[in-house]
Parts: sequence; structure tokens; C-alpha cells
Amino acid sequence: MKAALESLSRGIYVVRNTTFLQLILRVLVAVLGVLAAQLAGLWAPSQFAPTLLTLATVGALASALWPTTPLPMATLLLVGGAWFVAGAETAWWQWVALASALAVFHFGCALASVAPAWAATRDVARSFAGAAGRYAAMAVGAALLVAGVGLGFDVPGPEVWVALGAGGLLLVALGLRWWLAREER
Amino acid sequence: MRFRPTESLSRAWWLAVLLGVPAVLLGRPDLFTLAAPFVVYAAWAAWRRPADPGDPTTTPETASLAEGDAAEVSVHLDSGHWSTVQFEGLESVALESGRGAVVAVDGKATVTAAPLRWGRHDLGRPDVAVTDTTGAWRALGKGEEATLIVRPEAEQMAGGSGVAHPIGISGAHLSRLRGEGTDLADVREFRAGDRLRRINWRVTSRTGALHVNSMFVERDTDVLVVVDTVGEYSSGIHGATTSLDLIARALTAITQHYVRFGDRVAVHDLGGRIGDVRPGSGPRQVRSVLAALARTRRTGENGTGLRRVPAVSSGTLVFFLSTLLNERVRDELVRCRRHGGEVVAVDVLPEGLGLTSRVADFPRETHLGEAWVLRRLERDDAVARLREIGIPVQAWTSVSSLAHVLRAMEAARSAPRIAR
Repeated sequence: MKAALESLSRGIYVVRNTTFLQLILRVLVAVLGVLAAQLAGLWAPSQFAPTLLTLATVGALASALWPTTPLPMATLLLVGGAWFVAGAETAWWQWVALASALAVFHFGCALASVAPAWAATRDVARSFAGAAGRYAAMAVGAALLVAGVGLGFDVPGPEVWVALGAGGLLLVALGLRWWLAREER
Repeated sequence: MRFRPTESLSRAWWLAVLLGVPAVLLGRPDLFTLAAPFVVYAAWAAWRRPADPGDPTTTPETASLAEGDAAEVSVHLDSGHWSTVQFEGLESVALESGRGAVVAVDGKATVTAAPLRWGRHDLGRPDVAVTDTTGAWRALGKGEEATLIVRPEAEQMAGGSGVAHPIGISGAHLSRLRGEGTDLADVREFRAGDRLRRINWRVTSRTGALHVNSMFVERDTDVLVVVDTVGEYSSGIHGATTSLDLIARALTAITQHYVRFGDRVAVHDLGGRIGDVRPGSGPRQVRSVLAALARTRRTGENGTGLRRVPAVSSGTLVFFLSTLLNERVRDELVRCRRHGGEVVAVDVLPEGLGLTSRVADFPRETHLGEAWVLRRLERDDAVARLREIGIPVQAWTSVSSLAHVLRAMEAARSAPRIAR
């Protein structure tokens, strides 16, 4: 109870003392998070989608207040989970739209985590906008590319390719995990 | 400082794996499309991994400023990343930039700090976070300590000198002794040894006998200001005037006042928070007193020990700045008087503290308001006893608070005294 009240008071403090730049970032995070959850619910309806996406909506709103916590990760997983269940039969532009919303949500959280919500920002907005623009171009471009390429393949295709792909991904995942552990040391 | 992955980078890695693996295994290009932004982010972060930033430096490490001024404290980093600096909040210092937190892109994060009180304020070591421009790498560290030293405002005291018995050799105060001076004390008959230039020819011709002018000798004196910093009391919170504030106002005014007369002024600190100041005269002594006050720490516990006043020379003018709440402090006051000092007690108890009308200001369940009323009654009784034994006690409210006390003491110069 005490921890919940402390979290609530911290949240109220953040809301009351947020600077304009951080307010824009956090509104963007909340709006894009909620939008992603609603799009997933709209385009990939399923038995579990309402529950998952209600939780994701709450998670997106909470992520705007606490972007440095695991809440953004949970939100993205919930949206991804809902899409995993019923998103297979959707159009390519829907994949790209949802991927773009998730990318903005993710990078918005990354920028909001740079400083406390009450921190004064001097000449930072232009730098933030530049980084966001670079990332948006790369992320949306990659999503478009993957969607375009994915449409042309008859996946899962031969078992050999699936096995090779899975093995490659596993290696990449293990390599990244090892690298992350080394960096954290 | 060393760059480490942020939660954003960890999130991107995990999502790339958790969406990418099922995408390949199940042949789901839609999932792979969702994974693409996170794969791109992780790759971008790996490609743009920055070199570790250097250690942050703070300028100025110590800023000396006048009361009411503000200082700009900057933390410098040799990097072009987003630097976030967070100074710890202090009740006595208003941090004007984002409550002490600021983000900068040019490696220089500046916070404007406006101390609300005089004295020494340690801003502490600021928390520093450097995040690269992908938001994927962050280095955490601490900046160097910054200290603000604030000189209190020095006011001019009004009123006379209050010196009835100067003890120096030459100076500005009139003494009771007759000799070489400029102020006429008396006209008396000529005695062997009198200077011829002192002969008053008018009186001599009128009376037929030689008469000479007798003059008051002009001398300087020693002034000792005893300050009671054993406790600091306030009648309120958040910027209310404390007993230490009143002591600073009175101390600077008294020092300025007596230095103008050419007197030697010394400070003895009973609680050791301000520290002693050796006897001295001239504008330099005013600066020494202001410097001692500026170094005073305004935070932390009250002192517990009492540093006794050393022996006071007979005739020394002693100003005893105290709340007079502590019995041992009151004993010191009486001891100064017994040593032969001309003692004036200056009451620096903040206005309103311990009055029945202010009981409601304290939380009801603590009964602190009632306790303060009792404590003040006890003190007022002690103050009345001090007055009975001839020690003037005057509350410090403004620079003219001591005017009539000093005039009364000056007038006592020519009053008859009982020979011992």
C-alpha cells in the first residue's frame, strides 16, 4: 500500500513539474502506445485480444509517466502477443503502420528516459528531433523493406531455410546476450 | 564514467529476439515487420557505440556571493552527447533551472542556484548522466562538489557608542579621565605641571587667580561580541528568520559601528558554528567578520558544547547576542559582567516564538506550542533577574534597537560612581 502511494505521489510530482519538451514526448508515448494497442485490437481481433490490449493501453499510459521502468517493455510484449495470436491474415500496410507506431513509442520512451521530466532543456529539442528523425527513417524503411520482401517469399518454405534462419537468429540472440552481459559488467 | 546499455537497448534486443524468432519459425512476415524497428535500433546502437566520456568537472567549485545574489554552477563534460545533471535539492537554496536538473547538448550543463540565506551551502556532488544520441548508451557518475558562500548584508547601526570607560590610549571615545583632549570637562585652578597653553585667560583675569581648562581624554576601547550559536531557533519554517539570522544582523551592525570609532572588535562564538574572530580594527575587521559568517554552515545539527568566554578585561564593552534560553549561556553572561565588562545583552529570540497566540502554529498532538510558552515564561523570568542585577537586555529588532541603551550607557560616564 505504502509503495503504491509512493508511486502515485511520484507520478503526481512528474505530471505537475513536467517541462514542455518532456510533456510533448510523454504525450507522444501515451498516444502512440494507446494507438498501437487499438490498431492491434481492430486489425487482429481474437478471444484474448480485449484483455491483452486493455492491459497494453494501461501500460502505454503508465509508460508515459515511468518510461525508465519495464512498463514500455510489457506494453510492447502485450501488443506483440495480441498480434501474434491473430495478426497473420492482415495486409502488409497494416504491419508497417503498427510497426511504425511501436517504433515511435519505443524511441519516445528512450528519449523521455534521457532526463527527469522536470529537467530544464536547453537547445535539446533540435537534437532530440534530429535523432528521432534519423531513427524514424531507418525503422519505417526497414519495416517497409521487410514487409515487401516478406510478401515475395513463400514462407515457411523449405525446412532447411527455416532451420537455418532459426539457427542464425539463435546465434544472434546468444551473441547479443553475451555482449549485453559483458557491457553490464 | 563508462557507457553501459540503457533499458531502451535491452528492450530493443529482447523484442527483436522475441518477435524475430517466431517470425522465422512460423514463417510470419508480419511479425518480422514488427521486429524490424527493434533490430534496426539494436544495430544502430551497436554501430554508434560512443567512446567513454571523461570525468565531469564543476565550475566554480566555490562561489562567493552577496546575500540576495545567485550563482551559475556549471558541470562540464568532454562529450557531445546529452548530459543530464541533477543537483540535490536544499531547503536553503533555490535551484532555478528545472529544480536542479538540466539537460545540455554542448557538454556544459548550467544550473542557477540562489541561496535563500547567508552562510555556507554545500550543494554536494551532482548526479551526472551522459546519454548518447541514440538513447541506447548511458554513463552515470558524480560531478565535483560545489559550495556557495554567501556574505550577509552589513547594516549601519544607529545610536551612540555606549562607551563609558574606554580602556585604550587614543581614540574617539571620551573617557572619564582628564588630560589631553578636545572636549572641555572643567575649568580649575592652575596646578604645578599644567601646560601654559591650557590657561583660561578670561577666567584668570576675572578671578585674579590662574585657571586652566581641564579636558576629557579621548580613547579607543575593546569591544567583544559574544554570539550564542549553541542553538538555532525559528518561529516558523521555510525561510522564517532564525536566531542565527538575527545574530548575523546584529554582529555585522555592531562591528561596523565600532570599527568606525577605531575600536578593536573581537568575536567569541559560544557554539562554535561561526568561529572566533581575533581582535582587530578597521575595514579589514569588518571583512573578517563577514567572512566568518559566510563560512557558517546553515544545515546540520545544533552544536551541543559550550565554549566559555575567556577572561574579559575590565572596561571591555561586551555585547552578548543570545536567545537567553540556555541557563549555562546566561551564567556566561553574568560571568562577563563579574569580570568587569560593560555588558549589554542583545535578545535574538525570534519574534513570536513562545507566545500564546502562536500555539496553534505547532501540530496540536505534539504540544510543542505549549512547551514553547512555558520555556519563554521561564526565560522571561531569567531576563527580569538579569535586569535586576544591572545588565541591560534589549531585543534586536532593527539597527536602531540598541540606540537608547547605548545613549544611557554613555550618559553613565559622568555619573557618580561608588569607590570600592
